[in-house]
Amino acid sequence: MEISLAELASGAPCVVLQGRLDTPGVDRIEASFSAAVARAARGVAVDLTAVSFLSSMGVRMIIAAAKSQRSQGRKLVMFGAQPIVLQTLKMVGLDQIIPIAADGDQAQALLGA
Amino acid sequence: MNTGDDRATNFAPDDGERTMIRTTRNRAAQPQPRAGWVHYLSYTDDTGVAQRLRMVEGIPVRIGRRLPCELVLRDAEVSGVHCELLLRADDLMVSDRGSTNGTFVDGKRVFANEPVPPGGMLQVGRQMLKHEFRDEQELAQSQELNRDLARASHYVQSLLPQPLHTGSVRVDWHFQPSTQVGGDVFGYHALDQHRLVMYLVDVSGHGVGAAMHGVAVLGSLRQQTLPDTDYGQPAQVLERLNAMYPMDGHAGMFFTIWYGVLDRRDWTLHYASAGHHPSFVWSPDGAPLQALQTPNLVIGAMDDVSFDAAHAQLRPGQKLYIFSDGVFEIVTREGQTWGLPDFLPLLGQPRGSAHDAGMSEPEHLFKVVQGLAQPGPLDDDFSLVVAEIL
Repeated sequence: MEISLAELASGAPCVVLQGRLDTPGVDRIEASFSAAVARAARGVAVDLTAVSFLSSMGVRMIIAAAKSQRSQGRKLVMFGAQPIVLQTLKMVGLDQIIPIAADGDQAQALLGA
Repeated sequence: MNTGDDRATNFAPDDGERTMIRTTRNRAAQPQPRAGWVHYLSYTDDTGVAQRLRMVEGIPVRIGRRLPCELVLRDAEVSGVHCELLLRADDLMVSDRGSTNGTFVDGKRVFANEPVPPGGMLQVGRQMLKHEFRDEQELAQSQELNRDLARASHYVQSLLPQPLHTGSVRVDWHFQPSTQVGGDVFGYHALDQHRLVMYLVDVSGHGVGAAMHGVAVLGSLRQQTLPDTDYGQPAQVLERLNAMYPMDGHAGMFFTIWYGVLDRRDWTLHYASAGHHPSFVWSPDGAPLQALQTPNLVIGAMDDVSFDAAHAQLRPGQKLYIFSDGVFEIVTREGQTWGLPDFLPLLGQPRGSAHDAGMSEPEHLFKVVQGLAQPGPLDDDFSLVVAEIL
């Protein structure tokens, strides 16, 4: 699991995840992920395009980030989820608390709103 | 590489008749014998108990289905005398003894005198045996830890209810814990003379922490100790559980749940699920399986969320299947990763000649899934409850 930082076209910060969000993957990047999300002054987008698998540890990591954003009045939006990852996100109900956009443009629009 | 550290012994000019013998400190890497380290074969026996066989230098160990093998494995796919292992100077070697189904080391078929490296997996029939080369003292410590895990697992199992075989509803279940203590708990009990409550909880993660959390949640449900809660109202139960077990107060753990209330007067089922795949209703008339699920957030994630419930109308002859994802998240012998749709066709199948008269349907389904899965213990807890309306 790799993490890198990028920007959407609008300049909004985007955290890019790559690989399997399983227990070792989450262990590897959790601290960097929380820090990257916390650093974003306003909203942040999370690019899931290259994430192949999402385990309950990954769900936990995402929930924690969403909660911290919420407590600061800031937005978190996810986009690009592969079908199997999208299915997991919907099953655990994350789509009810974190907007899930189809792509970067839609994510940008949701952040800008 | 020779350096000034060479110490030559028996050095004589090379006259073609004598051999030069040199000893050097910088010998090419040779594993030094580790004091206190022992070779073992670790495996799970046919009753599911972890076993460890100590390998002794020069003493062969035959593995097979019957005596005179030193290690007997009761598995139909293991030949009478299947293979033989021999430890020589820290090298564990295996030879196949003409077995029907073959002997494999780390996935590769082997025949005569092949090494099983430390950490390597030997496959015999459906049995996986691991070659461990480790410190005896460290092993004793880890065995103590495993005994603790086993105690935790047994404690969880002691909280599971008896099968229900009286009255108009029949409830059976099968539970097979994973090798690591998992986070599954489930139960059912009479809410009052008319209504039966059924629930299955899956705590995120594994280990004793998840099991402890599961036990606490199970207690809230079994003993009905949630404050000011109508246990006949699934949405309310989920809301109260969510308030009682926030992630932040419980080591970051959340859980999924399926909760249902079955009324025996009219067979209405009032249910709610959170983060969990559906439970399924099977009908004897061949109608398609009915998926029962409500889209709610996993329990403990966020404070200020609401939970929705739903209703279904059941009738005599139907069966309700409630289960955890360990039941269908397997990898088959062919290496295919299963999902829920792969498991569903197995529900409600007549068992025909393979049916063991004493075996319940949940146990039978477990055997089927175990038979389809790749060799070795299952990764996750297998929890399956089947409620039949008679």
